[in-house]
Amino acid sequence: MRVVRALLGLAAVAAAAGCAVGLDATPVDEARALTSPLEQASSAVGTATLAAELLGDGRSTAAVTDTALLDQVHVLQEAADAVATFVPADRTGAAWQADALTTVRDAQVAVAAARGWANGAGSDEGTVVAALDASATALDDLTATLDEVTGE
Amino acid sequence: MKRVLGVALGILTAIGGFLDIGDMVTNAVVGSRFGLSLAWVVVVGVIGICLFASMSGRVAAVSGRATFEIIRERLGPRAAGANLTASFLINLLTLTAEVGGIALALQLASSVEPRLWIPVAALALWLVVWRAKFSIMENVTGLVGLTLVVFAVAVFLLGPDWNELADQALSPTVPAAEGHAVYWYYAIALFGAAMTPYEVFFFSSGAVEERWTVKDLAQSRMNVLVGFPLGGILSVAIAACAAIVFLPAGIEVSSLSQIVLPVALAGGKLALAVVIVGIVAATFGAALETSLSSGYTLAQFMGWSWGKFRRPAQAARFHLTMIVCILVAGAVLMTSVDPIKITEFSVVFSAIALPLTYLPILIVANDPEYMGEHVNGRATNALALVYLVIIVTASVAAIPLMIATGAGS
Repeated sequence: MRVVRALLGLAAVAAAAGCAVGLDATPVDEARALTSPLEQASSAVGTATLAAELLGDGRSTAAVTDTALLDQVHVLQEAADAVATFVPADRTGAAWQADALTTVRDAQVAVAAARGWANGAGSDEGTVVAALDASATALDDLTATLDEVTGE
Repeated sequence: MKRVLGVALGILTAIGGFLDIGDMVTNAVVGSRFGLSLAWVVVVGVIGICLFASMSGRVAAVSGRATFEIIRERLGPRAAGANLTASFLINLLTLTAEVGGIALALQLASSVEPRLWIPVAALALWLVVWRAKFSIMENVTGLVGLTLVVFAVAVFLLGPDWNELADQALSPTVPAAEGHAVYWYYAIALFGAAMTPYEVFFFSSGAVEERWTVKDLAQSRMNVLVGFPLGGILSVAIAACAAIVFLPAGIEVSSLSQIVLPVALAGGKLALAVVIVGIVAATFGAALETSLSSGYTLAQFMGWSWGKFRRPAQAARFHLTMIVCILVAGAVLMTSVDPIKITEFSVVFSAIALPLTYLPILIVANDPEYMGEHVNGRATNALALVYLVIIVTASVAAIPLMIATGAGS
């Protein structure tokens, strides 16, 4: 009975060790792990752009735009946390992580600037939307690079 | 004329009262990720809730007694107790989601943080439950909730590709970016959102509150069979708005603030104001219904005096139950837990607990001792058995799918 328990214990430890990220992850696994938070960030930037354009066109109120942008700040924070806590297996993975972190942080800056503009501080609508567009393009480019690796 | 007006009012209230935070969030999330490829689930859910509500309304009107009184008497205290525990907890979870929904909707109107709105929402809820008449409470929230028809108007104003929408709805496929498990997880969530048990507790207890008799069966049937399907169309309209605006842009809905953006895009500030009023009314109405349902279920099971037709002093434990539930819901939300996450879990757990309330109603609706000549007919029973299979399958599959998909993420 003890032997069975010991074997079960060892199996559990082995299974848990197998779940550890980065130890023997392939480039495809790493690219997949980073694509998900990048898509989350793209979604947040897309929402922020729509909210900012609606306010600029006079079709939305400052309160709704502010709330929408605040919600996207939280989404971007989740995406940034996911990228920051990713454990790369090699230099390629580390380089992707660094690029992803920079891109998501740029998106955070763009959305924060949009929120400032919506609340009457900061620059004009054109600058805000341009920054959000640039951020969306950067996120799309990096996601496309990772998609090439995963073949999706 | 008075009768026609009564029927019209009942139908309008049923349409406006059909939607709650669970319907709004789940339909918008599904629309942004799957387009209209899960619209068929809303149809299945609406037929199910029509069947379920018409059976429980008939049971209440014929027997003059509400759901949990009969469940306890028919199934015995032990089985009914297990049923009560599950139903009560799901109802509390739904109440928490609705109070959170009120706070989020008020944030959209004011940009003030939702945690500051939660005590206000809870206090307003208690005041209305304590002071307002049942009929006023039901009709006002239902009629103001009708303003959510602006989602349907927005679909037309957005000028979508109708062929594409019809194709998504009529030839449903799983999008390439989503797996089959996630598709079926959201199918169960939508089903649970359409068939929340509190709607039935509220409907059957409301029948007793309003002293329905066999003579009122026709009107109750009209309210359900016309009002709920029209409410279901509003659910699909929310999904369609998300499918038109968010799906092509790769935007995934994760907050209430996103749900109103397509309406603003379509109709500007006026439509935006109308939709915010509608969301406040729908969530407030559903919060009232879930508060009352918590009091109804416990008081009916325990044999306490209950009902809005009694003064609070004459139904003290009924009112105390509601106050405690409102306080618990408010306290949970004050921990900064995300109301949208609570909503997502509440609709899935509603589907899990559904057989516990559906089966006893089906048994009682076939019992001549309670129903006399008004027992289910053959056609109703055939449909009811089909739904029993669907409900049990959804209930059994929900937790494995929730684990396998990481709650649809």
